[in-house]
Amino acid sequence: MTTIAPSPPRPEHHAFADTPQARARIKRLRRLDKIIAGSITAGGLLIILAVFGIFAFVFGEAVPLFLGSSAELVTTRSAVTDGTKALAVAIDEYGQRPVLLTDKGTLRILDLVGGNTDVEVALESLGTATITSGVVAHESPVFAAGTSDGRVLVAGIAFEPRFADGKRVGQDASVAWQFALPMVDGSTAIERIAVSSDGNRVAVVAAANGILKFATRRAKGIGTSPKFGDAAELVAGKTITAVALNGAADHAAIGFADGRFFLFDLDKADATLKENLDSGSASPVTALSWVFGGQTLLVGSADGRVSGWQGIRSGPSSSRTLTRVREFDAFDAPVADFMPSQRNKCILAAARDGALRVEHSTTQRIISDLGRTGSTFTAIGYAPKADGVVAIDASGTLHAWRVDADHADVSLAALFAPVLYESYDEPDYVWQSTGGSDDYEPKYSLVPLIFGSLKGVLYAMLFSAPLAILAALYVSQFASPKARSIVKPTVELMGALPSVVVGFLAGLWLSPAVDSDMGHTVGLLLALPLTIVLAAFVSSRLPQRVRNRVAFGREVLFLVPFLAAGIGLAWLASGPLEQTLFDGDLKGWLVRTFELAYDPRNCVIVGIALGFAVIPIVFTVAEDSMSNVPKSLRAASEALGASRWQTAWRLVLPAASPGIFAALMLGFGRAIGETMIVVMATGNTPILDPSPFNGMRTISASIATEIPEAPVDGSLYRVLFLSGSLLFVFAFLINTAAEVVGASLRKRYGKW
Amino acid sequence: MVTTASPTLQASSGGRGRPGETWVFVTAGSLLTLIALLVGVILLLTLNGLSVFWPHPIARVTQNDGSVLIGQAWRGEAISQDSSDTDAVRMRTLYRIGNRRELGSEFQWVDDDAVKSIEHPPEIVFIERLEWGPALGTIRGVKRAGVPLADLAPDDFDAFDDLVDEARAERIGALAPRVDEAKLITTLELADGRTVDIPLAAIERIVPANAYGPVDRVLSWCASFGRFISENPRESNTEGGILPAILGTFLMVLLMSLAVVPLGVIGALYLNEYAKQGPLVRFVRLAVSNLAGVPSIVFGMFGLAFFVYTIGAHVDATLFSDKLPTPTFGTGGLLWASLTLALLTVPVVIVSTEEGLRAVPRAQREGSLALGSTRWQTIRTIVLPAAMPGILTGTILAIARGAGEVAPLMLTGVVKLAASPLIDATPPFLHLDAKFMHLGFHIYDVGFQSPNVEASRPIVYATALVLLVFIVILNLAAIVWRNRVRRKLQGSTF
Repeated sequence: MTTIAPSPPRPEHHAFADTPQARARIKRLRRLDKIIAGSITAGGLLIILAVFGIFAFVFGEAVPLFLGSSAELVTTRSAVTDGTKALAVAIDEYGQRPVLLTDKGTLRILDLVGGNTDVEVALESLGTATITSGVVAHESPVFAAGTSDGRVLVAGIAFEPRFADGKRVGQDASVAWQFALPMVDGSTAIERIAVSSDGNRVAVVAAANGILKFATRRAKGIGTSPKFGDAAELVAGKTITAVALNGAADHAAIGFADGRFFLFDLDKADATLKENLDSGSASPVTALSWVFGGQTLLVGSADGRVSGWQGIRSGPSSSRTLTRVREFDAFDAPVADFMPSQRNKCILAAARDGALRVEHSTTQRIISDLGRTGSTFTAIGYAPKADGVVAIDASGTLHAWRVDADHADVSLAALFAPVLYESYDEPDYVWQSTGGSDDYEPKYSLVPLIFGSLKGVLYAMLFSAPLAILAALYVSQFASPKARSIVKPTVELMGALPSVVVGFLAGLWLSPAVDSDMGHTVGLLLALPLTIVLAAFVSSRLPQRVRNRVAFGREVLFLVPFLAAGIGLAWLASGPLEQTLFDGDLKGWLVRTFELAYDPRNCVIVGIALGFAVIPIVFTVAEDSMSNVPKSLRAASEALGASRWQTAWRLVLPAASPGIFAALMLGFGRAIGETMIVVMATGNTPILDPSPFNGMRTISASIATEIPEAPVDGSLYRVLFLSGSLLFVFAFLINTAAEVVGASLRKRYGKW
Repeated sequence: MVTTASPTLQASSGGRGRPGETWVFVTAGSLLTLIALLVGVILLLTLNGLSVFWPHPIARVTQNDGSVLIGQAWRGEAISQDSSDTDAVRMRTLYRIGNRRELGSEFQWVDDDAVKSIEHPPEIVFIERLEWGPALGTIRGVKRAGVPLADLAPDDFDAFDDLVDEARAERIGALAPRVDEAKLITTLELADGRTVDIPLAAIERIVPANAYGPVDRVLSWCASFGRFISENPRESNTEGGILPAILGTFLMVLLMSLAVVPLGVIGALYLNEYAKQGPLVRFVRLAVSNLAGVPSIVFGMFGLAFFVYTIGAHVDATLFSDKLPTPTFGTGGLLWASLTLALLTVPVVIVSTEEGLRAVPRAQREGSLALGSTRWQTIRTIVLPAAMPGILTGTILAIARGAGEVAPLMLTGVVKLAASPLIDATPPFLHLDAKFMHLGFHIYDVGFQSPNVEASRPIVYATALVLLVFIVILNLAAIVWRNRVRRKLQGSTF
């Protein structure tokens, strides 16, 4: 503001003189006035809009969570198989060059984007045999084809981006290696097959005419001689209708025509039958696959049902057994195939009638229904980045969809309802947004965070509300005006104490002090009320004249020596008392007696620290409202013979109750958003436990500690924005409530 | 006030017949507790913060088993007892024995029962080193290029100080030469009789705490405090000073004020002078004042998503595309943090300015308008000067709030150790895109994420004290100012 000094009058331009200069000047001034009025209005509106824009923006960041996923058919190309049937398809990470395994025994390398002509590579060593089945590994582009003469031909594809001037200009795909595994004798055709590979080590399970064989081999380098395993007698007499291998190749699932399926443990030298399970349907098991991470097994049946199975412990000491825990929407036709995403818990599921869906395992939802094209899909593939899906139907037409399912792991149910997560035994509210490995299942339940926020606020209010309101009552009703003029600014100053300082003292001073010396802490807390009652008693026994002089209106000063003595005594006495009563270990006694988990950074500490931050606002607002109860009312009460306490309790408190409510609301709003204190004074563990001797994790602490590392626009980022919006709405509502109540009080007494 | 009711009333209704007197004492006790809490916190911070720089005596402790240690008593605590031994509380004391490089650990607990004797010989010194924390021991001579300096008494500390100053020239940047390359080397005898060679260039300061008189101690305290606020941190913030944090806080607050004052004043002028008063403006006013109660972390999120990831990314794409993918403004920095805090504090300025504007007597405005002034002339020459105290109070309150906020900064550009200074000689001199250090974040970081929590705790207390003093001064200024303005306005209304 540089132009605030009044400009000196200029005698040469007299405002009243009707000269051309004066008229021009007035015109200029009017124009300036209009310009400034316009710009201030525009600026003011802009600022106010910006202020509201904040909320819109924060909320807007969370909105995509609920917009759902989209899938868009980007390419259709007919006759890609040259008249043969596609058995399996593998895609590179740019979705540019799908590779098909055909039932003619060839690998066809297509190019969907560039102009390269399709390349066809014949599988070596096929000889005169024909292909009877074919699959692709989920984790890497490795094909396995079963032959009519009992062999499995394995081929690895190498995708390599082509660069020019540091930019990717194309994608190359080639067959990197091939080998053949003789699985059964030369006269038996391989019927079902599953392969799993990390790109080098290859594991195969093959079923042929009631025989089940396992094989592992390195693709290249040393140790390329295959190892075989056999489980023929375990499946004797049963018709194998589906086989699956998990990513680690230590478990295989085998489905049968009678609706049962086996889980094999391949870790040992021989495959061992781990579990014999009933899929819950009498129709044959037609598709089996593990969801990314290898914890959940999907079972698809000929009646179209799809269920998810995971290891559940029925008791604390029992081992995990595969249990059906999820049921997805059933298809109308037999389930044909599954293809899990290798980025998240999504799966692509196809049925014989041409239905194709992307589903999410954790949230048990259909993410996209890719619809029917009329013809059965014989080969389906999930893009490595989980952003696309490719499927080839029986007529040889290739369909490619772009799938946007970035927030498939978030749904209202996942945020607010208990969810059964992998490696959990029952549905639970869990906040665990990041994990150590890629196949980690994010857990975004906001319930523990909301609980933590409310818990912290509850303890803070328990500590601060009585202290602040009683102190306000004293200052407004019983203290001298001079004391009031000192106390009020002091408490306001207390509100200016940075929360990071309060949090640091709570975390590094109070928490270890209470932890190491609980006896003294409890002693002091007990001494406080006792001393006050004692002082009141002493005061009442004093002669009238002495009392009016030393105590009346000066209760605080009168209390000081009592309190000092009480604290001193409590300090001295609590050590020996703790010794005699609790064997010198009050904390241990508490923990043992109430079976508590004691965490040094607990809710009592947070309550005190947060309460400390909240006291000033509660005190100030409550005191204002009590002071503004009209004097005439109080005078009338005293004139009718009420004591000063009776006046305060029966008259002032009820009259000022809206203001006190407003004070509590404001304190509540302040406490729920406080960040640094809770970050520093709690253990930040997101647990649902109301015990005061435990920590918690609040919404604000989660935002502060997790958002700097959250990938921009990812699920965690948006979930945190959602929780931030919740905080915003909550604080706004509480403040508005306080304001409205305050306004009603103002109306009642005419002024505030 | 009822309490100052006439003495006759007190006399007639006093005595045991007055019900509820105990409750009055309970309310008084609440107030006292509240005040005791505040005073306790301030005392705790002040005492701990100030004692950090005090040259504490260095003890040579001989234990019953004959072992000797040299250290400063750090803190004591009761040993948690076994149930068998219940008669006496046994204590132990933590000593800061320093010599982390030589002894492996900087602290050692000593059972008070196991102590045979404690002495404070004057020749023991506390040496502040560039690396490895302090060294404690007795100086046994100084060698210059391998030749011992003969005329040096072990307690001639002035001579040592001169030599330390001389050796400073040997440093390369902030690094001391290795022992085998240094010209000036001192030999230090440790508690166990071992001797170690330390290049004098690696020594920041020698503190012979036991040899100090009272005046020396005060001088030493002043010197330590001066260095604390004027030096860069060392040893991943566990030693050295907090100058970058002070500068970062100051610059951030300055930029924030530059942004928030015009925003707030224009907003308030619009609301109070130009907008048509009605339910809508009332609602806007309510919303603005409510915005002051919105958690600061939400503003931090907004700053991160809007300034950093939206505006910053666009600025980078248009102006700094040659540096991509390394972000310039597309990552947290001084500018974004300041703007975020400006948004956070703008309601404070709007509310306070509006209060000031409303307090300008109507008669003055009307007088000005009656004399033919335009609206803007009236505002510029009459209203704004009269509302100035309100604007300034709002600004100071905004600064006080902004200076103490940490949570939004953690999202918008504060770092534990700034890689480059905010102001230097390379254009554009003030680096708005640079990440910065902040006193409040320093407290959090050093106190909770430091590799050596025990040794860095004093720094946290001292930093907290500096921040507290800064904020208390600002707040007191605002309170005093407001009271003066109120008095002035009360005088002018009648």
